[in-house]
Amino acid sequence: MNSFDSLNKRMPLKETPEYISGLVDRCAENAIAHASLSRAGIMRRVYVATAAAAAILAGVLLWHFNESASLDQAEIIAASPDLDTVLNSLSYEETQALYTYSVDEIPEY
Amino acid sequence: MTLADNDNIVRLLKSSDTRDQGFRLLLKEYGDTLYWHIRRIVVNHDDAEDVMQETAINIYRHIDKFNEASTLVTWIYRIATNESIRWLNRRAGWFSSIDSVSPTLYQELTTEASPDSEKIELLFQKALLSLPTQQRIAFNMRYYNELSYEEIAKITGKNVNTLKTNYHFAVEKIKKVLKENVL
Repeated sequence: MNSFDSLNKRMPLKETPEYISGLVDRCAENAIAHASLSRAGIMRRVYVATAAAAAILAGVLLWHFNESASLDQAEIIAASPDLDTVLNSLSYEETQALYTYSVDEIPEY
Repeated sequence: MTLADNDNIVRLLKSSDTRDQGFRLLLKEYGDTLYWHIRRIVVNHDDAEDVMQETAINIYRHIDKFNEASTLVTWIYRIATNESIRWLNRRAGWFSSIDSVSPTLYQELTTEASPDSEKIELLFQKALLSLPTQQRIAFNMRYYNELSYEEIAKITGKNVNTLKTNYHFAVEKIKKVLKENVL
């Protein structure tokens, strides 16, 4: 038999049953509330992450299309014949027309 | 509490509709036991409140992980024990052992002791706090909660024979401390 059996497992700390009961109830309610807040927090994070991903995707697509348009223009310019060649191929009358060209001559479409 | 009562609580916990009801019932039945188990480990009144709250949060959060391989009681004891040890480790800090907190715990115990507590009760707690923390926790569960060695083994992850040996050495050490201080 242990020499401390006479203690009957008494503790020098005393808390009232009401205190412990109140603490347990508070802990239970807080735990339930904490879980709800966590779920809401997770959904909020999912929304933010989705919005950020969508914004990044939109930015990438926009950049890609801009680059493509620039490339198209560059390709057109690169594919266009040399200006000197075009001018040299014009007849005398066409060259005169260019020289006397006026904005008033642009037909209405 | 009977096995049937525990089965009823588990059934309530496993259903999302009755989870909250089951959780409240669980804490109502075992809250007092859990509190004193935690209090005996962390000693400090305010710390025990915080650890109790953390324990409740973790029990609720991990209800789905309760796979009934262990009993409900050993499962919640395990969570409470782990939270208490985590708390003491935080108190000890990165570079100190968990056992380094014990002298401070004894000082807090004497401060918080009830005015009508007997000297022998304080001495007994002093002797307990002189044990390594893990040994003290196992002793508490055996002596105060009267858990079997098998249950304590499931809670602490220690071997049953190791626990029996440790308990024997703990008893001897406590007797020695009491003898030195009383006689």
